[in-house]
Amino acid sequence: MNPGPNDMPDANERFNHLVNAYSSWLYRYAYWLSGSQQVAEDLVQETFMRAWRFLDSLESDAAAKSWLTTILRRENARRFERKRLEYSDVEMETLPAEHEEFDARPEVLALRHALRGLPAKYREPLLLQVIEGYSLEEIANMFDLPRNTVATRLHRARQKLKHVLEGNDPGELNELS
Amino acid sequence: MNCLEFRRAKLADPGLDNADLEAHRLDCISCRQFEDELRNLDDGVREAFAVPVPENLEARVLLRQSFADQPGVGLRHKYWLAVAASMVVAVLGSLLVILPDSGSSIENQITSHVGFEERIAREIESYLPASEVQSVLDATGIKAPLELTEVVYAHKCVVANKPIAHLVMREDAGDFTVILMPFGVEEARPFSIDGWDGHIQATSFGGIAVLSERVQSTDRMQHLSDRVLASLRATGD
Ligand SMILES: [Zn+2]
Ligand SMILES: [Zn+2]
Repeated sequence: MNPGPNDMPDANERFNHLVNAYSSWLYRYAYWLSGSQQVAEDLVQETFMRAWRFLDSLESDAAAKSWLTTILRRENARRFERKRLEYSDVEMETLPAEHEEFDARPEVLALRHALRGLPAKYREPLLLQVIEGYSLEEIANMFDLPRNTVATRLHRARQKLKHVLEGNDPGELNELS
Repeated sequence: MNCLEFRRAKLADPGLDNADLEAHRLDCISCRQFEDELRNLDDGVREAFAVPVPENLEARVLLRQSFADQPGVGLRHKYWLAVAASMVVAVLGSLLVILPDSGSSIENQITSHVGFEERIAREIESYLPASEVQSVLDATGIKAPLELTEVVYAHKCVVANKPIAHLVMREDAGDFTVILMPFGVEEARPFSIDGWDGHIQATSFGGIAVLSERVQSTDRMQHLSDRVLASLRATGD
């Protein structure tokens, strides 16, 4: 016997709740992972398809966001296996909406530009910490890295952003550590 | 604790606090300033992060889920599950609309809306009865009797915050998308956007857009548009 999600009478309801609660977060996170709006939507779709198939393995709704985020990160990694690309090779595209009415204050544009220029290994933990309030331990678990390594990446991430925003070339940063 | 230690700790986790950090903060003006800068930086990251989420993303996720493995459920049945799912979300979705897309043209908005459903429609193997197509038109508020027999997908959708009838039609040459709008279109025009070729024009009930993702010409789209309209007129008079 293999009880799938469809055997649970409230599986659909539970799934609907996950989609409504987390798709914005996942889409934005996927955008900052992939640098592409189209890829971001595909990643969200694939993530939820996988989540639907394995809904039974989600034990508590409190863990839902981390669970979904982990699925999305794996889907993204799979994409690179398929294309034999290095994660760091990704060029981030500019959002078309940036040229229109979407929050285009100069300071926001400057930060978005600086975030795009940040190596992915610095950007990802920073977003998890700043946007979602994940602790160093939680990020270390998710990335399977020592806590100190995560701390160093976060430290560098902020240093680099500050450096760029202060009008410097991102390449010539003298590490503070 | 010295300035370097304070800053190193705060750069890794601005939310971190303990007695040592607190003691240094009280002592050191420049580190207090540094802390403020970091707080501003994180606020900025939060703002920069919030890129616009596509309209109806939730609906598209649920639509696709409703087509996923449901043992023993036939395709026709799945179609109605899909309709039901996206109807539910259409209601929720209207409360959750993230960005009104008022800045971009109607053909831009249509083009960015249609891709997913045209892909979904490829999995549908049979034509819809005319009565089902008609019921979508009725729900959209388009008063036009329609005798179209080549429709594989029909759904009431929302584009530019207004209901539209979204059809996918199939002919030997392949599928194409037809959007019937209960609101006016200013002038007839062809368009080519993001790999979609299409044509848009005014009608007695509002407007029609016909488009396809395959390599097409806008002329051919205009021809298809006229053909769909002819079938409306033939039954309308
Ligand atoms: Zn100090
Ligand atoms: Zn549609």
